[in-house]
Amino acid sequence: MTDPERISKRSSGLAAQLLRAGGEEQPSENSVEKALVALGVSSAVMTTSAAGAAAAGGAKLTKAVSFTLLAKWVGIGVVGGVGLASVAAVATSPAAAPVTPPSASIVTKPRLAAPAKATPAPVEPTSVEAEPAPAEAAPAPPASPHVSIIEPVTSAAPALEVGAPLAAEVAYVDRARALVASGQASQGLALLGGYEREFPEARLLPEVLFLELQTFDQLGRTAEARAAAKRLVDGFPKSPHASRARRLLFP
Amino acid sequence: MAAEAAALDEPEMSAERLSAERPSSERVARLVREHYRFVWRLLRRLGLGEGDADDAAQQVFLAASGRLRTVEPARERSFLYGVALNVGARARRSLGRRREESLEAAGEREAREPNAEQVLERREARALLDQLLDEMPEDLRVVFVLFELEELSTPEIAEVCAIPVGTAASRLRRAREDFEERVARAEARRRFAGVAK
Repeated sequence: MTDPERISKRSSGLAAQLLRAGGEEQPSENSVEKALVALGVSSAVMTTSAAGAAAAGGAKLTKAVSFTLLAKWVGIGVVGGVGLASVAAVATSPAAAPVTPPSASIVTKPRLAAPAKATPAPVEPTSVEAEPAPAEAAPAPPASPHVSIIEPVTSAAPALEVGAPLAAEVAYVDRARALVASGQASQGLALLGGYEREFPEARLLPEVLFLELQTFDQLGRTAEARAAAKRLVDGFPKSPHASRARRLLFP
Repeated sequence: MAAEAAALDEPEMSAERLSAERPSSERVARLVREHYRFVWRLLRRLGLGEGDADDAAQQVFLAASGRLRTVEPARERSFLYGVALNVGARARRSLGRRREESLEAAGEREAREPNAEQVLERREARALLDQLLDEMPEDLRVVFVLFELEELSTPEIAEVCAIPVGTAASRLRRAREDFEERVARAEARRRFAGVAK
């Protein structure tokens, strides 16, 4: 059986014109990157190659290669040259240091009443002691080359300005995810808790809420997991993660 | 393949099961990089708006990653298309009302569009294409989009849609006739609109 010639291959005609236009449409780079983050695999691209770079010669080179990869998969076409310059400036900052959690115990904020995308409301912090509290100078998280290129964010760090590159948000969320995955859930949650303060635009908020939800759930902190789930469902009802969040909210 | 993809209609599963069945993150990342654009475009031509296609495409990969271990690399694309057809159909059902409204808007747009002799802007061309596809019967539309836009062969379409190859070929023939008739009518309406102005 031979397939007929495709209409779009014809040299002229409205039908061919329409089909060619349809075939040329592309999603934004931002859309692809958000999918990688939502699936929790945006770091997979960078981790593999960055590990190779580390073997080839030292942390400085690792940073450079990591940045190249970050630019390739996250920055180019998404945030533009200005954004990349910002990331580069941060990446090469001599102030880069291991993550330090805000305090010895995890500090979380009640989130149910907070708007989906807003400056964090001033609420009373609640101490949670679900895990052994880290020492005051917490140990650095395990090396994850791709996350080391962004300056660490502490509770005292000023918020990044509106319009910060999406790449920085991706790296921040990846770092939190890596901490959680390596068993340092409290530090991961501390980072996630500071996400909206650091990035007022909060373009990855659905992903952050889902990661919080999963982490709280795994720790058995049901009330907080449900709070994150409710916020996700209320704020982002069409998010791919919303149905799983609903299941947690209404088992 | 379609049956396997249809099983993904219920994307929920326990965290333990998810963890046990999750393929390597490198494979999922590669899958997204290689196929996201095709999946997204397929969802667009199946009737979803740009923002809805973003959400639905994420849903496709989220659902697919749970079953990826059972899929041979050579069959990833048709597997993903099968999942995309299910996710797209579900999304369209939930967007039914919005879609009707957009069709009305498209009708108004068409009245303002230039003559067929004039070169169409790509965005306008895509709007008209989507309108014509929206009017096609669903079974014909799916086969038509997979063949004409995604350039799948008839046997590949048969696999994705879980239908015999002969049925796929027959639907494709009818779909092409249907589409060309609709284009001819649209062209005639444009000419008429041009004369009436």
